[in-house]
Amino acid sequence: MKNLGSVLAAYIAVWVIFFGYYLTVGLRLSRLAGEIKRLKNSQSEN
Amino acid sequence: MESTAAHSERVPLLLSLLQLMALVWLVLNTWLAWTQIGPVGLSEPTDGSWMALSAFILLFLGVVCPLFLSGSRGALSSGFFVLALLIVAGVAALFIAPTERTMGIIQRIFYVHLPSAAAGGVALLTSVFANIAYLTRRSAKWDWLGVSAAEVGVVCFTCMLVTGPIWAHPVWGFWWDWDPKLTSTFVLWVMYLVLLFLRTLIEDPQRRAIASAVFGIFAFLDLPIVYMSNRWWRGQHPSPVLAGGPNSGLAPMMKYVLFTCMAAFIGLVIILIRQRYRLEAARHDVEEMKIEAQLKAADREAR
Repeated sequence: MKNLGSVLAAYIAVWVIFFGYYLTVGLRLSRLAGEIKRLKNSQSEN
Repeated sequence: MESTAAHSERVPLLLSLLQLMALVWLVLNTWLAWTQIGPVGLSEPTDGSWMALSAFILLFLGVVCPLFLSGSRGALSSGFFVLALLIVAGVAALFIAPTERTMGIIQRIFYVHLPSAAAGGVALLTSVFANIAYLTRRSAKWDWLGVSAAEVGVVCFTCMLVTGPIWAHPVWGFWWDWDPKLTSTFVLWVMYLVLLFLRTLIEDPQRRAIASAVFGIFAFLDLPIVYMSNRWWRGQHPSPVLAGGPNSGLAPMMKYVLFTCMAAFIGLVIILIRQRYRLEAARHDVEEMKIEAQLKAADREAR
């Protein structure tokens, strides 16, 4: 199976790039959701 | 009132049914392809248009419809459908597609390389549409869509630029060549990276949105050049296999696998743009709340 390593490398690279990106968006979103919650709490305290 | 409630219950049910039909269609065709009978509509003289239509009906019923009509539950079911499509596409690309005679199994990179480009093209088309809409309507939502789609487009073209050299090295004997197709793609990728960087330099949201929309339209002008470059000029990159004239083409089974992969990647791009758009909306909410808190604090100090 010549070049099998290259084929697998390409497929793994695509999955890593797409799902890595999906995870970073998810992380950024949850951080912002936390910030919104914090701001809402401080607004209600005031 | 009763009829409205019944209608609102029936719509998600209908959508779930359509999505289920799409899933059955996908599994049936994959099984037929696996058993070498061939998917529905696949025959030697086919031009592939039926397969393309089938893939995009699948995408529309399984991903787009639930996403826009039934809220967060729809988004979840769209996500699962895209995951199913991606798994089927991966299996089809690695095990069902016939091995190309000259290049051997390395040609299977084609099933992630070209769909990445197609999905990137869809993302950048969405971005430029949003850029034009922002300049004419001046609604912040178009700016959010524009930047979300541009960022997802960059991700897709990164995949294309990574998989291309991995494919090229064993076939050409070198990783990269500054031929028209590769150069114009690289320029496109760099220009959209510049756009994303440009946005971080401008504080004022309106100025940022205008600059981003104008630069986005300018950057998009390179996309037709990327598409046409191997039709206009000869280079190291092979001639197009789809819509490339009388000497181009693909074996029917390869075409079927390619369209399934394209549908899967475009589905993934739709999900990613939606998620990234939510992020931009949340960012806007935080900015608004911070301004509101500052105004309240200033008001209290003045009293």
